[in-house]
Amino acid sequence: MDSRPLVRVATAGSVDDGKSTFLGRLLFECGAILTDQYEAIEKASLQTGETEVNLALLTDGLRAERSQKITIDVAYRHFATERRRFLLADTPGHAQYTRNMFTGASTADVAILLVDATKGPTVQTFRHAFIVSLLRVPHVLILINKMDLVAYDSAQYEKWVDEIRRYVTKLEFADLRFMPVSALAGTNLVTRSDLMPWYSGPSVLEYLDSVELSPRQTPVEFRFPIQLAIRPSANFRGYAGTPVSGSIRVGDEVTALPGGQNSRVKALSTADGSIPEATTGQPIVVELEDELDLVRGQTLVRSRNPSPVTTTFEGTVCWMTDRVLELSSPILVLAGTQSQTGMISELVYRINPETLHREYVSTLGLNEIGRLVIQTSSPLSLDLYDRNRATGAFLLVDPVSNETLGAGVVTRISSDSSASSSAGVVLWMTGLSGAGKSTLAEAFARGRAGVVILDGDALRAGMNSDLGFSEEDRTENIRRVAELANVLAGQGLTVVCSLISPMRHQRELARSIVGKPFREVFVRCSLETVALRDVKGLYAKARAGEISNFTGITAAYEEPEAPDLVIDTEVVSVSDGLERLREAVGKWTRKT
Amino acid sequence: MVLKSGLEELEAEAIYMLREAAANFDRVAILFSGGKDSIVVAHLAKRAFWPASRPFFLLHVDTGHNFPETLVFRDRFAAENGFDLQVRTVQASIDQGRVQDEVGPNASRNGLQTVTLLDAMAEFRLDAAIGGARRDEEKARAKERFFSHRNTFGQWDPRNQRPEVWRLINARKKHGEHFRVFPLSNWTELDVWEFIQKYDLAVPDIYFAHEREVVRRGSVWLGLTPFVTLQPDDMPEVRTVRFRTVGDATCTGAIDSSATTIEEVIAEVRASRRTERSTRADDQRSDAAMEDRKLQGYF
Ligand SMILES: Nc1nc2c(ncn2[C@@H]2O[C@H](COP(=O)(O)OP(=O)(O)O)[C@@H](O)[C@H]2O)c(=O)[nH]1
Repeated sequence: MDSRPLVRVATAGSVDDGKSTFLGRLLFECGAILTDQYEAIEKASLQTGETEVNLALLTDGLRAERSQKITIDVAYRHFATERRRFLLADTPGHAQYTRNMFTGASTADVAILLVDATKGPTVQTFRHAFIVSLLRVPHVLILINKMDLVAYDSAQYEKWVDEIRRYVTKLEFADLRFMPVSALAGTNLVTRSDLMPWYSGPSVLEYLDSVELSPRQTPVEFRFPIQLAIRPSANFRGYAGTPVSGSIRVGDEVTALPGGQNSRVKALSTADGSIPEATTGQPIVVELEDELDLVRGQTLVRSRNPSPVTTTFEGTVCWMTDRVLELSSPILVLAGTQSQTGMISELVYRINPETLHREYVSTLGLNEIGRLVIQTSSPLSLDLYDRNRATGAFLLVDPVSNETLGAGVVTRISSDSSASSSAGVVLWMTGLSGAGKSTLAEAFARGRAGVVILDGDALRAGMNSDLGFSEEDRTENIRRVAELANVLAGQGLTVVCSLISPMRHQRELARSIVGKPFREVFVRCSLETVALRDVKGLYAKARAGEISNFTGITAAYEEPEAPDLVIDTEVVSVSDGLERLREAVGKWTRKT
Repeated sequence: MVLKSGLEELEAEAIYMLREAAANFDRVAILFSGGKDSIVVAHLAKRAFWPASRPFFLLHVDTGHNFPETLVFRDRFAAENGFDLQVRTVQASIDQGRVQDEVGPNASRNGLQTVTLLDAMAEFRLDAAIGGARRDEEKARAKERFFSHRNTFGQWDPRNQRPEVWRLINARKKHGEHFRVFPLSNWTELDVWEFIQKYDLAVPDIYFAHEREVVRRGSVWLGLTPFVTLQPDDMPEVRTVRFRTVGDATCTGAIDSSATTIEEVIAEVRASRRTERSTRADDQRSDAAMEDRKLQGYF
């Protein structure tokens, strides 16, 4: 019987970096291309007018794709060495196929990325490195290919390796390696080559054959998502599933999450009979000592080592459909065997995988990656993806079309689940006219559900049109806005009040009306600068005496003494200021 | 900790998928031809739900062009393993005018199965049909999902497949739509045989070397059955052959072989330099033959 273990490998590369050539060659060298397949690609090579058999044609899939000479979906292939079997998930390189790459890498033990030695890393290289890091693929191998075209020069190789290393310092990898190869010439694929005496590491196959497969990355916590309850007769009630991590013995104390029912393991069985202990990846049926009516979607864990249960979590999600992300509309969250209705309550930011910059946008499109806050109507039991690749992953599904919208990894689990983000907050933005209050408020509201802006100027046009700019009128203006904010915050909304509110006592009045959810945000900018910016031309008019009671010119502004947050728009950019604001709000809403 | 063998891992994966199918769908059939892949699927289903009985029945879409040995085996397998077996025939679809037989020397009913299958799925109101197809069989299959969504016309859209990320299965569907489930997606021909050996499963005799009157068609030997029309220059001969797949007798070719035991078959498969599908005349029609059939709702 064949006892070789199965290793799952995912590959990606930009178009023309030589991925198909590499795979064709690797499969050929491992004897994985059979005669009739070889004849078929020989025929296809001749048809397209090539002089040699193009091994790259082997991994180019469906007909339409072959005509475009690019691979589109994820294609799976087998090859083997004396020691191991490999299941290869071959995924395309283009940015528009990020979701395919994400899919292929999600289950991989090893990821192989290709880089063209004549061109160096491309934005795709960075994108792929980001994804395999995000998905915590245990081993990552970056091949600098086409070394034959740079005369097997070590300097060229080192240059690209350095460039990639500089980028990846910001990413996390458990094991990252580089290797110089020529896919076309077969250099360093199977055996090491004399052509690169300066390279002392293994060949690609040697590497694949020896890469550590011990479950070092596998967490020890026992997690057993129940797939279905099995009740063949009145006296047998078992739960079928596979431990996705850890192991369990008969007699161990277990808890079902969510739900929290406790019991002990009475028996563990497979179709071959009872066993005393079951480990990761082994399909079993679990019987418990107590008659609990557990259902699919619950996870059995050790009572001493449970996973968090929550209705609010954050995840980094790859958006997989051309329908854009909509905040607050109903979605289904699938995690393990759990399925729960919920909504995306916040798009915290989009990540540019090529620069790793956070971008504050209002939606995500196909193949984009972003950080989301997700809320569900009933609790889910989840682990952080960093701790557990199996129980920290989820899908988002459209409950109407049933389309898979996105897939993500859990990056933060809100501990105080139900209270947290349903508590409203009032952000009282104070500062001189032109300091940047409205800009920040609008940017903050973009991409977030449940945010209302109360803008002083806008409200003066309607609700407060009876008020002028005397100190009493200003105080009344602030009182009304604070009362309104209080009502809205009481309904769980985040209320951004953007008012100059020049006097301390006015802001204290607002704080006393709103109470606990009140946060004073000082949007600071010097009078010189705002007067210079003078977006609305008001400072000029005030100086010319055309406007009376103008704060900073003809009326006083009292700076806050102990604001909850200061954003100095003379010092930071709008996006940095926004990031500070979001961070602070994140903290505040989680604590209240 | 000892690493699992590849086969153990694939077995666990298949059982996981079968349990997902049972948990997600009400009415499910295993497409059962009596061939080795469907035998393995049926056996895995027995193991997956033990000690309960499996919530699936067997459905055979019968082209009428069978090797008699396979049909005998099929009925015995169902009876011995306690499976309900339903057979729907292409002949009935022809009689009802749903499809037309192909004509000519290479006529095959393989493509016609699609209509019979879709009709049967509607008749039994199936949510899903479980097949034994493997990704290693053919290029178009290499992109199949474990859970493959089919629209209300039973068609596959390779450009719009649901991503299968980690092992999270989105098995939701609308009324009238269905799924094909392929628990053996990641298996190879060798895995199938090693599984058969491991559990000592019975398979139809035609998988082992036997003498048979055959005729050369392209690169394969076609067994002489009443369904194969002899051509003027055909020269039938008796050879010692075995089949690597059992399907429609008009397009399933035999190979020269002396393997009479499972061990010998395994040794032969291990040494083989040709894919299993190379013995299927229907796939050799064109490079994209399988893809074209799958778009229409083929297995
Ligand atoms: N000189 C040289 N050319 C290569 C090498 N690898 C691939 N190529 C060529 O680069 C081109 C693109 O290769 P291909 O494998 O189709 O790239 P893919 O788009 O990444 O699959 C083809 O013309 C290959 O022959 C290599 O190691 N050396």
